[in-house]
Amino acid sequence: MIKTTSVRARVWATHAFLIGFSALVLFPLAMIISISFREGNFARGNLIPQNFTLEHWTLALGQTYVGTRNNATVFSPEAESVRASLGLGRVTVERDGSWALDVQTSVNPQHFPLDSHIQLTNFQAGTELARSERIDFRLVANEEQAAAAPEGKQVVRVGEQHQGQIDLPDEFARIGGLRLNYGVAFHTPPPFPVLTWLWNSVKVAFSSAFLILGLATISAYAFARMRFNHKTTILRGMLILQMFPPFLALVALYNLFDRLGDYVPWLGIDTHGAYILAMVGGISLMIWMIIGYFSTIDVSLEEAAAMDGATPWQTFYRILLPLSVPILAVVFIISFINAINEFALASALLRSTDKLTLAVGSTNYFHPQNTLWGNYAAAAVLSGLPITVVFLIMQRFLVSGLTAGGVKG
Amino acid sequence: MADANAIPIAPDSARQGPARRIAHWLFTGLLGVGMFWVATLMFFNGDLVFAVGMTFLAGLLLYLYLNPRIYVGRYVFPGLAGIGIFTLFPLLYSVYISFTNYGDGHMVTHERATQYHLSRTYLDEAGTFDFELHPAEDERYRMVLRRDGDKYISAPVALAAIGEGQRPLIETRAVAPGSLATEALSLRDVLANRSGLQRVVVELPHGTELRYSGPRAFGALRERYQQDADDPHVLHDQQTGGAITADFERGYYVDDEGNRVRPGFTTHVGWDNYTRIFTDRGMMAPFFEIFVWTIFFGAVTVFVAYGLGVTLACLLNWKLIRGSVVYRILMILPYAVPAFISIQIFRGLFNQNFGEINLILEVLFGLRPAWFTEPALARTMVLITNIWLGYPYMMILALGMLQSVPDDLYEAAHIEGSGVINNFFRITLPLITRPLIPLLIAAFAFNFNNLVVIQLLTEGGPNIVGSNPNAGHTDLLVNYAFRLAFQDGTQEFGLAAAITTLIFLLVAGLSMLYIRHARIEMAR
Repeated sequence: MIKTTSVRARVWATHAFLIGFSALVLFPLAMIISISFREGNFARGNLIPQNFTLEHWTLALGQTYVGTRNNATVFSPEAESVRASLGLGRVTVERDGSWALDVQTSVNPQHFPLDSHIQLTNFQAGTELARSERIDFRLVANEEQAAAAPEGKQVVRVGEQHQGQIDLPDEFARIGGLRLNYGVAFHTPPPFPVLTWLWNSVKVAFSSAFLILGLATISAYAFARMRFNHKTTILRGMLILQMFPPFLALVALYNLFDRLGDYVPWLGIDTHGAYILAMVGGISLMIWMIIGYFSTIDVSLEEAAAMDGATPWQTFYRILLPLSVPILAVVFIISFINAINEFALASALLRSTDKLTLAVGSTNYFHPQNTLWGNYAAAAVLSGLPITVVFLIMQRFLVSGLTAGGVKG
Repeated sequence: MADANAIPIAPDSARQGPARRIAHWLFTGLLGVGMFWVATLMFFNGDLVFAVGMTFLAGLLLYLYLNPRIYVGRYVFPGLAGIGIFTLFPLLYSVYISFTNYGDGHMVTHERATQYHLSRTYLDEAGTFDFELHPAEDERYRMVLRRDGDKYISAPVALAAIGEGQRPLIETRAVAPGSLATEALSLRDVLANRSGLQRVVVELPHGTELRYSGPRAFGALRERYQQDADDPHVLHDQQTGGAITADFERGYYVDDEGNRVRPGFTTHVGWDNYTRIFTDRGMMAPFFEIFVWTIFFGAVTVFVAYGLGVTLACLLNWKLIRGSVVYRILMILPYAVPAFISIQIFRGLFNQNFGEINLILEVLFGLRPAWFTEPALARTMVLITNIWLGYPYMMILALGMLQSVPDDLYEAAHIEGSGVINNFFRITLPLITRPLIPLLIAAFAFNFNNLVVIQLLTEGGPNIVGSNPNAGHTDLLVNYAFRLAFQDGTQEFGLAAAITTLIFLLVAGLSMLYIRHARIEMAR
């Protein structure tokens, strides 16, 4: 084919379209990564965060975040001094720059060291004219922390009183207003046990995927290699049943596990056992997928083994299974991802906060009055990244399985 | 392919060593006995259906695994049992529930409700004892009960330490009148200990149990209801002298005046739930709106996502495009990221005041649409999100199918003077769509049951005005059922099951369509 100008133009147009579309696809994902590093929850900002913070990540990893928030207070015209709470104590600053700090008497020892600072600025009509030197404080719990404090930070301890003088620069004209910039030390406990949820999700998904894989493989072996009555009918029935997602019969499953829980406590409502078993409902499709693969494997090997005296179990376990590892991997991963993404069953069967899976737990970030957007972002990236990477690595294998079954994973 | 059934099935557990055989018997036996035990418990608890089911399963298990001649059954049983218990049974059971009033106020079986009534007690005023509270050492108190010259005293009790829900049984002994060293506490001090006193049960030496009935008195506890000897559905009220009767139409015990006595029990209500959906003013209109939207949502998602997927696949498949591997990975991303995460990302991005989408729209066009409160906008948002989630699957399918379209077709078309657009609609699309039809049907079935995307994005909202119980403009049928059963503080299980049953019918119809198009080779 000859490359004419019109073809070249079309190639460029296609590239432009594909790049534009990729941008559209990537936009939400890039956004969430950006938001996870931004200060505050639900703050607007650029794609590249301006006030970079690890607060949300610290919280997502289950740690209490100890940080410093900037704040400011303006001297009213007649006032000689201002008072401000620094989170580690109260400070009084005079117009001439002399200050006095009362460190608070009790702080939770887990939250040391706390950082804060004070600085005076001279401004007029909102424009900053000059700023003084900045005095940094660090509240420490022991000598080790005191020794580790960077140079230039004033080390303070619980219950102490400190005073000093801020050097005011010469150009600190008296014409403008005077403002105290200060840092407020704070600590935020993690709002939700994200790591517990992640662990729950992984645990539940692993168990159910194993259970489904085991049950489906054994059944598929019988359907592919053995002769029995009504086989075609049962197979056709399973094909119809695979169109019914397990959560459709949620009311019945809820009732089933509610009653079962009276006799077998680990199968009641709000147990992982119930959830894992409920996921087995999606087994029909997996059986079909494995049968399809088994039927592409030549039976002559198994026949030879049977002639040599192998039992059906031995031919299955020693010969057929090792030959079917690819489909077993596909079934396992599809079941795993299904279980991770499953929402309806988990939200009906699991109740207490420490039992939830990520899919259900993450909805807690979206309460109408208080959307913890930043915290959600960090939790989402933390938990979504491994699953995404696994999926991308496995996608070539998965595609064959997915197209065979015709159901979205 | 050779005959797949050619393996000679030689069931010879005789070839197993004795140790393994014993282990096999022991394991199967224990499992079976355990299941029988649970079945027995179920039977004595009144769960007859469950008991029968459990017994059947246990019997089948023992029969299949201990009888060496039924070899095939051992392989088929685990999978089929899984399907039976967790797919088929719940489906049938849902249909059954749709004919009952199971739900708020009718959560328990008739047997349980009867047991509950029979376990109720009342304070018999006639059997009242005078009561005094005496201080003892360590913030403890002794209770003194007196009637007709009989006097009983309890051991010291730490009343303040009795927690909520506790019912300690306090023993007493008889004492001679006037033999106490301490003064009785004042009324005020007795009242200060009231919460503790209300929780204790005092047992007299001859077995009568007494409960607190006032700051100066303890009364005898008596069983409130007694089952009629002839008619077990009639309970005689010992306190008022009346009777309550089980009303199986309404699912309640009713007293002589026809008032309901809680708790209600589950009973059969025939087609009531279905009639309610199709005639109740608060349900009929929302139901049809939701029904139409559900079909629309599924169809539009599949249609647009498929169109987009095929277009992208064709572009990526164009040999002149370099770096198509990179594009491919980027475009599959929405499929690789867990759906529950991306849906919630969209929820944040679409936020009216703080979302990035409105931020961009405001800068470009000065618009700030209310995505979550305007029905049409909310539906658009749901569709956009779902298409974003769904097109990569279609793209993957189309990419696979494109490999099988022969190149010479395009060359022939080129010679005939056919353009790119014409080729796409006349050659590519028909050739790859035909074999994908069953998968598209399955995708449609999946999407109209796509509970997650609605639940995580809008929770069905905005609500439809005048709907009762609540329904939302973006609710799909499954979400509506889910909402009735588990959300909004209601547990209308019977009604939810009726809607679910209607969904079953739709899905069953689609499965038939699927099978007809799939022409899957069954005879194997």
